Amino acid sequence: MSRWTGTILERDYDALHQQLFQPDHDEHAAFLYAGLVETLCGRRLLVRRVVPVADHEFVPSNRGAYRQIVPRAVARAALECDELGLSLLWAHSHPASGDAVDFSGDDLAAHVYAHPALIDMTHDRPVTGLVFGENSVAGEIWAAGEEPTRLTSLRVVGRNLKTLTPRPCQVGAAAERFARQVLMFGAPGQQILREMTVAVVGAGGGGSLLVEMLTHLGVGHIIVIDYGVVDETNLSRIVGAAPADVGRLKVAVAHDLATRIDPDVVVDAVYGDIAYVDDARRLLDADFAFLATDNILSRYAFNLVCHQFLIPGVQVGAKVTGGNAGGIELIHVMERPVTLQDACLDCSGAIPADALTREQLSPEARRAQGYIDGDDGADIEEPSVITLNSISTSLAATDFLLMAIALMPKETSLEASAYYPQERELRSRAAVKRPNCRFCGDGEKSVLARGDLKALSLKPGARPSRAVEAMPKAQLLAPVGAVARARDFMAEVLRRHGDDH
Amino acid sequence: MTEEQADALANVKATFTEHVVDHEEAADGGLLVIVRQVVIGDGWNPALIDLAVKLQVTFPSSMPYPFYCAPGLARIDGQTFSQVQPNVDIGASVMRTQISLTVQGQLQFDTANETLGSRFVAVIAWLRSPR
Repeated sequence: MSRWTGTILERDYDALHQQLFQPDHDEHAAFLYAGLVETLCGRRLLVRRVVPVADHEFVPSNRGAYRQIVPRAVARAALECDELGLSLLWAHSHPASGDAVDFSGDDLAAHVYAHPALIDMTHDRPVTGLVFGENSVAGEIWAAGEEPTRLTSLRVVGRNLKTLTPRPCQVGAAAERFARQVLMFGAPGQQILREMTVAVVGAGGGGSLLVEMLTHLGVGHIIVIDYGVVDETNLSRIVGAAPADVGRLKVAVAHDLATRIDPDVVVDAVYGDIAYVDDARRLLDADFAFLATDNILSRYAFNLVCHQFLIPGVQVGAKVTGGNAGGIELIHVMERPVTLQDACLDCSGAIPADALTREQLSPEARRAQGYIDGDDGADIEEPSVITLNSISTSLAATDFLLMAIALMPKETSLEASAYYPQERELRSRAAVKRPNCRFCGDGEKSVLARGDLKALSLKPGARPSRAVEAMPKAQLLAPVGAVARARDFMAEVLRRHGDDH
Repeated sequence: MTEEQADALANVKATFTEHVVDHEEAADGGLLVIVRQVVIGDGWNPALIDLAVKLQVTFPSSMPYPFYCAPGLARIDGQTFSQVQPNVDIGASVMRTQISLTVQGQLQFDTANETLGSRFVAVIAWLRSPR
């Protein structure tokens, strides 16, 4: 039986919590409309909209229970949800419940009564009942042709990441190697990191530093994706790469680096390019993702996947701009959090349409364009230096750490940061979220939280593997093994959480 | 075809109701939208072209750019324009005339104020009065 989890934006969870836990200490209700995704590790509901149920439509029950949502409100929500192509969830509160919560017998009876009809009304999409305690949630998912299944957890994502479960999780002792970190964020914080799956896209200068830092922090499962091969010029900045690694896949070097630091870390080294659908889907089990590549197409793909599947992340990069008269005009380092509720990479101007278009043209077509703007159509190698990479990746990994263990204050701005080494100055780069943005906007056409209910607008299939076929087998980590490792990792996390499905 | 490409194709069909509008899906997820038999004026040889644009899989985050027609498009009077390159290999040795027209200074394809149909109209207008 497939495991079910959920993800909700922090802003939506705050609104939902405010609706469900009111000063009257009575039960309240809301509908949630959600996208869906099926991954290697199970199925996930992606909450896209919260619709409060007005008090006059949450009335004393005429079927023996405490309260019920009036039928016209249920029908209205089901029809609206179906029109949007989303899955329906209905939630209510048990105000006296704190860290543990469960359905009453009346709640479960209501599922038996209502869910089959609601599944019919929403074209066989799953229907979910949720009950919230102050810091907990239980859920029961009804999918067409399947037995009802309990929700394992609900992840709240935004400036801080939080996981709600039906009952508190057991906290084990942290390994001695993390003793100094535990002094900062405690054994529960260390356990949170150990149970996380974090993706790193790009295993070059920036990505290798991230893999190293994440492993030292104690992240339990790292997915690293790249299609590049180490060459002589990479040795100045890929952490863990030595002359003997020239010719090896960058992800293989990253794998070796991480497992040398911590033999217990699970690393999936994936030959791939997230501009392709199949490769991008390798990100879907990540709780958090980093982007450390230097092309606009992967920024587009990262922004798309993060928003469509509610995966928070950070993009990092460094830029050295030459002046017209030679020499260096500007050095700056960027770190752009993708919180899913603030301005996205597109809104912040990090995905310029002209550059995105140009990258996808043939060299000849670019050269023809160059008759207008003076471009010779050739790919330009950008300067890259380890010290600059280390600034952006340190900023990004620190943001991740504070978000992961819920130490990021709500009032802290998570705008992009730009560091100018020649001025020794770190500046915030404010960006305005466009309401009609196709990634982060709330409009009907936005991809936000639609999951598999919208096809990914990426290149079909996986990146062609000619380069891989030429590599010695020993350098490759079979994707099949990676799938098994990901499942094993998730099973172990769930076992520690007392999940016995 | 992505949802966004399908919407754009429908818009072009609605804009050019007097023309045949075809499409071809590319292996890389791109969509070639072709408006058949467009009159671009006697100053060109030929004066009637099939005008096409490839929408990348990333559209509308990427621009509808460049436009294409059959190779060899030229002015009758021999005048040349940098925006019109008559023989360009657009990949896999496929030759086309490339018409590199875009809105100057535009950083995004402004879907709030522009459609793919209106962009086709603007390109045709330029071809009829090139400058």
